[in-house]
Amino acid sequence: MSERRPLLVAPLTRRRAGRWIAGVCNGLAAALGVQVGALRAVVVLLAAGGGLPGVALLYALAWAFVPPESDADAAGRPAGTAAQGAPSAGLTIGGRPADLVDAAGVLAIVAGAVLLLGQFTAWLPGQIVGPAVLATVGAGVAWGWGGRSGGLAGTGRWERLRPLFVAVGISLVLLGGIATLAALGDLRSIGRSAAGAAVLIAGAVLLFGPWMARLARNVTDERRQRIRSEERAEVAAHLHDGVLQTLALIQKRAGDDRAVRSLARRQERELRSWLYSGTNGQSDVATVATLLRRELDDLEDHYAVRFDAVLVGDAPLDDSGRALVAAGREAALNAARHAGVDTVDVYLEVEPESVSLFVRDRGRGFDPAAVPPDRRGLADSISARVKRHGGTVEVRSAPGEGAEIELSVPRAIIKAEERPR
Amino acid sequence: MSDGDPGGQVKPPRVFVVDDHPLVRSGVRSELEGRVDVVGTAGDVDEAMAGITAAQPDVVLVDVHMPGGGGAELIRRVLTAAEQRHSETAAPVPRFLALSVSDAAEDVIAVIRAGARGYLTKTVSGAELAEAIGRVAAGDAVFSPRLAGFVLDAFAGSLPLPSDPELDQLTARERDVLRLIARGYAYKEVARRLNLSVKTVETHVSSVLRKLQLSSRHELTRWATERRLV
Repeated sequence: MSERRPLLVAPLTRRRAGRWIAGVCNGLAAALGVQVGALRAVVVLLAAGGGLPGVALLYALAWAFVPPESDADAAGRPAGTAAQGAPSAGLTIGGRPADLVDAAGVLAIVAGAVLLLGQFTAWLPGQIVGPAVLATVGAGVAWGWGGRSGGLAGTGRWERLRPLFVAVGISLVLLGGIATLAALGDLRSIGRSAAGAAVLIAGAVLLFGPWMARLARNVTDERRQRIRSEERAEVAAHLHDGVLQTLALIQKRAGDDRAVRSLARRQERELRSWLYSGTNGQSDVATVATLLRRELDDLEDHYAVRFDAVLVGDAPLDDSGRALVAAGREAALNAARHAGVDTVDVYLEVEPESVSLFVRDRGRGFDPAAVPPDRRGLADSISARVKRHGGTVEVRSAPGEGAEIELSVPRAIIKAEERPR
Repeated sequence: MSDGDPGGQVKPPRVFVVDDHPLVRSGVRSELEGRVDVVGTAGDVDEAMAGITAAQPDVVLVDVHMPGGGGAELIRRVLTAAEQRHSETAAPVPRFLALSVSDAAEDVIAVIRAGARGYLTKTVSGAELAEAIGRVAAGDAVFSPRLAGFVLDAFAGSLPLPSDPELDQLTARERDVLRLIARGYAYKEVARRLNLSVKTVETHVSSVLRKLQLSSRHELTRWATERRLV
């Protein structure tokens, strides 16, 4: 056991795999990160050395209050760790109802305790040992078989026998309590009433403590379940509002190629931004890339064209960035309107000194020199805008060869002092 | 699109398609009909392992996201198995091409680093896909515009702390080539634009791929983690 390690290396649970009785030692060993064999040896030595009643009581308490390992945990754990240091199968009998094994464990403990305690009567007043053991058995029966909601008691004919078990358990506890009182009868009267009260309280704790603990555990489980189902409902609602509606629309307009494509594209975008809402959702952070994406999305909604945008790097939005995106939008709009293609490539790259934007289509192309002077889009909306911010515009196109508009603006001077270099 | 490509007249590459959506499998199969020889399909990693061993394809199309580990896991397992076999027989090791709708950069890069020779988005046309398969079968790399963007992004903003500058930086030429690919240029168009031969463009792209797979730069890891968080 190293010094710096945290005390518990795993949550404390009762592990069914490789246990001997109820899995207390097994779970404790796993939680402490020690060999289960060593831990068991210590426990057995303690018990044999005269501490048996104490050990048995602690064990019973642990049994009651330490939650059993859930099936999911057991399945998630690699098989090797379960078997580690616990080669003995003990009482884990494959396929046998676990509660039956639990009960067998109780009886085994009690029987051993009674036999051993008979020889240590000098250590404890012998008369109260028997009744105390009786009371323990009663509690064990009551909550082990009677109070359990799942497991063995929850199935078929055992379910019907549950009241019987509870009754037997309670009577055993009462019997034990009365017998203890009777055994203490020769003590002084002050002690007598105190002992009586103590025994009753102890009985009540034994009876109801585990039950309440289990109740609390159930409440937690239920809450977890509820959160999970709420999440599922949210996903379902989203899919319904978005995806299912779109699919219905697509079916209705199956003949209209353009409409179907733009519906599908819009839905795809929407779903993507929901799924990866961290990366490209409608964040209000104003950057060149988010603004460009928004503009392209907007164009896609109005034209049956798909923009394959590749964005490298990003920068906070300033005037020149805004101008660049506005000019880029115009270029993309031209491509969507005139190129006669259904996909347009858009590439944005933010470099330390400049921001560049490329809009490229493989459509019908045009002769940049032959653009009639009354078509002002390219000149005003694109060129002038970018040049006003010290940028450059390059148009590469020829009839039949598609077109590429290259826009570039220098990054604002302020950035220079922000950069470390 | 394959002038001067000697792969044309020999028999078409044998392709195996791995995707967890039956619709995608059949769609890809019908798109590729007549262009390549689709020898099998699989819906998850285990099925694919068995199918690939049996069919011995030249190229495996893998989906990035799949139950049971995804494309990266499949590639790793096939390559490991091939390595162990290597001593006894010289069975050909298939090459991998990732095909996905995924937008998550780090997943795509993970598949590339596991050993895929390229990445295409599922919006690619049948002809482009078949051409890419031919390229991968010939041992070249295939970069879609999006992958080129991811790679540029990953190698950009490089701080001067690389352990192996040879691997951790792109050359100016490689950067030029990637930029044009990111802008939507086909290899042939890149070659014409930069006055290179198509073969040279392929060499540059392959060396970028090699750097991507071999480099251990912190930048790449940091970039990938940022992608997940931002």
